[in-house]
Amino acid sequence: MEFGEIVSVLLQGAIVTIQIVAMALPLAVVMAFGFGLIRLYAPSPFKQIAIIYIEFFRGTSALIQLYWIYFVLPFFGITIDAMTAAVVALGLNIGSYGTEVVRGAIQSVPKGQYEASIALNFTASQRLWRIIMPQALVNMIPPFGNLAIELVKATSLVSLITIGDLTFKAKSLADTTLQVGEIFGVVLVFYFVIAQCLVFFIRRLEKHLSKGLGRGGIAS
Amino acid sequence: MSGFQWDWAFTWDVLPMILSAAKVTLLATLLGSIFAIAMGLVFALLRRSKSRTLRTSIYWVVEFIRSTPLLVQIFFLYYVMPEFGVGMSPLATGVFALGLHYGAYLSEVFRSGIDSIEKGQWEAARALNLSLVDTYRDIVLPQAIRPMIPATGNYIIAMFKETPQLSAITLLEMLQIAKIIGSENFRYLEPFTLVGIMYLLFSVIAAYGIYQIEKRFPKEGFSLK
Amino acid sequence: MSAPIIEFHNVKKCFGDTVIFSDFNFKVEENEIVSIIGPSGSGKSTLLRILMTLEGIDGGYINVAGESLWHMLWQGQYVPANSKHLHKMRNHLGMVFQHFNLFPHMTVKRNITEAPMRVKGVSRQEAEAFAEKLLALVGLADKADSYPNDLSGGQKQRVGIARALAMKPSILLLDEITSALDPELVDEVLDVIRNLVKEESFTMLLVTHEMYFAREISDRVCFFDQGAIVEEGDPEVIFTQPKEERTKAFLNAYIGQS
Repeated sequence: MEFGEIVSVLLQGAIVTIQIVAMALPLAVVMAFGFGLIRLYAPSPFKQIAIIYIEFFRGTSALIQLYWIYFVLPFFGITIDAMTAAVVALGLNIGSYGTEVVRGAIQSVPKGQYEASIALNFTASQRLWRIIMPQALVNMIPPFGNLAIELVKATSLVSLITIGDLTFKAKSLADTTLQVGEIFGVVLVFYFVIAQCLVFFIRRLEKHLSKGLGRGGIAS
Repeated sequence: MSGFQWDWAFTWDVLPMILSAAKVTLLATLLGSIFAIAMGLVFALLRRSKSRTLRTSIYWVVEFIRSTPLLVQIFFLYYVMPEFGVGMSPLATGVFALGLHYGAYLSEVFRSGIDSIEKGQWEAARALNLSLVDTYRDIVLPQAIRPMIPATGNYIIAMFKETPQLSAITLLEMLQIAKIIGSENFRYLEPFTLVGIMYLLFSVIAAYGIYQIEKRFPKEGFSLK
Repeated sequence: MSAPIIEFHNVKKCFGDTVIFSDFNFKVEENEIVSIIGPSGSGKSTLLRILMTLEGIDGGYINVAGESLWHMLWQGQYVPANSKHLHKMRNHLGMVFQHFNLFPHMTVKRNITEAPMRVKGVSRQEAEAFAEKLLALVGLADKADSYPNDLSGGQKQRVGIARALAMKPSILLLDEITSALDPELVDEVLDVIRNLVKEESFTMLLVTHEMYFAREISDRVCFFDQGAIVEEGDPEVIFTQPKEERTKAFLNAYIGQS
């Protein structure tokens, strides 16, 4: 097989990989903020649900969760296609780690900010959304960036439930041709490039967001 | 629907098989950890080398390993190594891949641990005319190890949780066994749930163990001799 | 004379096992300026933080402007205040913090206008016009569009004062507002307060280590130690003829070093 052919087959897989990332990432962010805020502020029963979600998804691995959603849920009458299973499993998995990012970033905002916003009589939701969150967001960007890279890496697992992503294409090429070195070399480089693009984008975003905080971070 | 229920009889049939596969999982984790710690140390020390080229290349090697999927690395080793005449068993491939992948993560832990030792300690060691090896062994590492324990422990737990990926190269660890049982019986609920519970259980126990190790570890460090 | 604007009745306050106040009683009249001095850890700041509702109380009650601060009437009985009641009570109070606590993601102008606009529903034009007036008052008219991190400590604290004043509180709480400043920046902040009390009448409660300032500005000085007022009265009397040994020792140590 020509090298160019290999690359073009793998590119198709890369597009699927990027599609999964593009769908799972928003889900992960929603879960992270939703359950992160519930974990911090909601009354006890909701908090318990959040803790169960977080501990369950962090205590087992993405592959087990993916298999469970794909193979076990149909037994409960919930049949979902492989793509949905992949997006849900990865989104929930990365989201569970994201809750801790959200929580940590909010807690890292200096206590004085919270006190000043009480002294100025802001309501609880104004305190969170106008004072605390804008500062916490800046702290969240780097760890969320790392999670995004973890997500890209985790998408390779979907090849095990027969989705034609980058890893799946590589494995089927490797099974039919003998150019395994080239194939997996190219695949590794593809993943690396996707991750580096994310790093670049995240750095830009971080720079952009921290501009509003004045030079040199948030210590006041 | 007909009310799908948990089948306890099936659960008890399946449990011994999964438990015996747990041995393979734990063995892979144990060997993988040892290899990862060794690789992590090598990477960390090379990143402190005098040669700028070496430092930069190790940085990119670590970055590359960390930002590409473990599963692809497993496939790479499994398919490509035989090309070089190094055919390895699934277990050996798995241990190698886990060790390399988490070694890259651990190198960052070790590096910052070593960096956290005050400059004065290095200067004192030099003033006493200790060799570089003696300085690391007698001065730096004994002080650096305790603060590294939590992060190292967390990565080892993370590695343990990723061992199911070795099922992709047919290693008969827990998830692979569960999958085989599931496809033979057309029942995935019990085997997959059991595996999930096993992982949760082991992770909790391991986290507690690491906490105990850190607590018991003397704060002032100890001699490595 | 009308009822005191602030009244503490048998207030208890503990942090875990540490008792800060037990049966603490204290009054401040309207438009009175009261300085609280004393060694650190004596509960001075806690007093202000309780008034600002940053800390709860474990017993007794507090009235502010004739209404209970930490309690409210519910079905004929006093019960712990809910957030709505606290929100209402906080309208009386404003606070300036030791560490400024300016919002780093907002310009100086927005630091000052945000609360009047969001909390009181003041229009933008009105809030900004008032902010400009306040910035002129604290001598920072040219810094409206700067961010807090571009200001010196003294400038930050002057913004902090303007921000508190923007809410037009009837009671102003100043919590060691110069303690975090370099010595040469202290006066620019104290001058703002001096001018302020010249122009308008305020009820002001200040915790300070600036003894000369306390003596000059206060109607009354309270010497605090171990959660109780050891001695209080006219500043001239307290600073020149203290009766209590503890007051003497404290003032000697302070005057001696400055």
